[in-house]
Amino acid sequence: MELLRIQNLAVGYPDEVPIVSGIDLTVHDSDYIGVIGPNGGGKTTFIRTLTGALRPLGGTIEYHSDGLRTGYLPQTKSIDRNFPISVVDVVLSGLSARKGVFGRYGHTDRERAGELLKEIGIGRLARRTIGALSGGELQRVLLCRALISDPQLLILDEPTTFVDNRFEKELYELLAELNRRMAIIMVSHDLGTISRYVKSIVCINRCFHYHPSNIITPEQLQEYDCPIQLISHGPVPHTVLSPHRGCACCEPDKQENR
Amino acid sequence: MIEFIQEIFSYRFLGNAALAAVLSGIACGIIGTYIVSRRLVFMSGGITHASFGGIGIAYYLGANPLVGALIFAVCSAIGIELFSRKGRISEDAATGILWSVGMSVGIIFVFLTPGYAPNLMSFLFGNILLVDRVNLLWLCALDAGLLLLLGLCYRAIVYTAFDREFAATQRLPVAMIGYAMMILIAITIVLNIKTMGIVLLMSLLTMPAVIAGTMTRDYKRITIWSCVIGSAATLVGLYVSYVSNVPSGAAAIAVLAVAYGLTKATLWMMRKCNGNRAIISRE
Repeated sequence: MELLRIQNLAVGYPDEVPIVSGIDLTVHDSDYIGVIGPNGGGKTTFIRTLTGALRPLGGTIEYHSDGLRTGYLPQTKSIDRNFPISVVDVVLSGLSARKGVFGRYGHTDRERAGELLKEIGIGRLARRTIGALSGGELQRVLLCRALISDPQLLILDEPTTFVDNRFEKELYELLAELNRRMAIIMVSHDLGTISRYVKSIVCINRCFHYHPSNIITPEQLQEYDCPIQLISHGPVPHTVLSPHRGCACCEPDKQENR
Repeated sequence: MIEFIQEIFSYRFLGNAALAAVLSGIACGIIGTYIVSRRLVFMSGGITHASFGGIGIAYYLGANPLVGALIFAVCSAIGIELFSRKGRISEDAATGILWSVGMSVGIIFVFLTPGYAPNLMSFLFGNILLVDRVNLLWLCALDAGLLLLLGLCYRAIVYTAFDREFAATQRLPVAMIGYAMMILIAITIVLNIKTMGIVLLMSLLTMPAVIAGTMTRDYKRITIWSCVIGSAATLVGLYVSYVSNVPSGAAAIAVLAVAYGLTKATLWMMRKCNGNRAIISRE
């Protein structure tokens, strides 16, 4: 089932030149899309536009479902950890779209938040304030916040930053499990690892390229010029995509001469 | 102390002052928690001082100074929110500009006012003993409005304050909540100028929330404790003023400073005792 269709979308900040334009993408309910690209390329701007935090500078985003439920996990660096709020309240804030401004949060909502925290393995932290959490614990709490509304589309912006390798592996396995019931769009620098899990890849570096698969050849490894972490050990398959024509990540010299 | 309590019921001006102390404590406790949690202390200082511009112009035009202060404070609050939202100029810089420009406009117009120069001391440092029935009614309305707002949309306000971007993705009216809170900050500041004065008001807005924040890290509890601490400190300040004839606003701030020191010392001692107990139980 088609969840949303993006046509000729331009993303960026109001009254400025779009960072990325001409974005065409259709997201289906079983999709697992990895979004890669260097810093400043427009990945987060694209994601923020997709979540509604930024208005599109052009083009359209059509939702093919009435009231598409979206879960969003932002970068943890955007979170004020000194704010006086408990873990359970952070998770409950994921229900704001359903509750609205005047909505009441009942016992059932609290129970659901508690269950979710237990499922993710941090049930004991429910009453703590977010300032007392480690980076990995905070990331788990934000994941619970994204999941409490039972989303049809889960959007994650660099979810493995500041977390240890064990949680990273657990997170990717959990996401693979969640992908059975929801579409996922995930931004990451770590192409080497995400290629093992994602089904398709989007490259964003001031331009937008959609690659419908995650299969690559070793020959293409050297051709790919985006500064993305590719180091891994063991039998983890790498994904490197064929070069794009006229794109800053693959033809930097050409871009500089413009 | 008993004599002071008896006189509160005997003299209307003292009764009004005591009531104003409690009502100011509640309003500043609610708004102060929001200001401290969202780190808007400097910005609130800017709005407070910018309101002096409105007082000066109102004096010059022969209008009610508090109405002038209200117009200036609300415009400053909206201006700062607008500046920071558009990103044309940083919130810090916008606040700094409004702070000093507001003060200078106020001073210029007060000096241009022909005849008797008004007593600015009561606006700069407040005089709770001058609070009248009308001021009390406005403070009551403010407290009722703030409590109603918290009762109706507490979570939307807290969630937006905590993570504005996520709240926007949840289709909460982030901009509207932001502007509404800024306007409420401005109104709270202006209605409390008479109690604490422009210069001292920031302490009543921030210190109760900071003291409460050392005891609990839950927004709702910080709000409740801030209201209690703010009201109690202002009342004690009034009593100190009654006994020693010092200005009540300054006395209230001194009480808050002592309360902060005592809270920190108590917490430090409790931590030390708990640490010692843990070492003993390990041994």
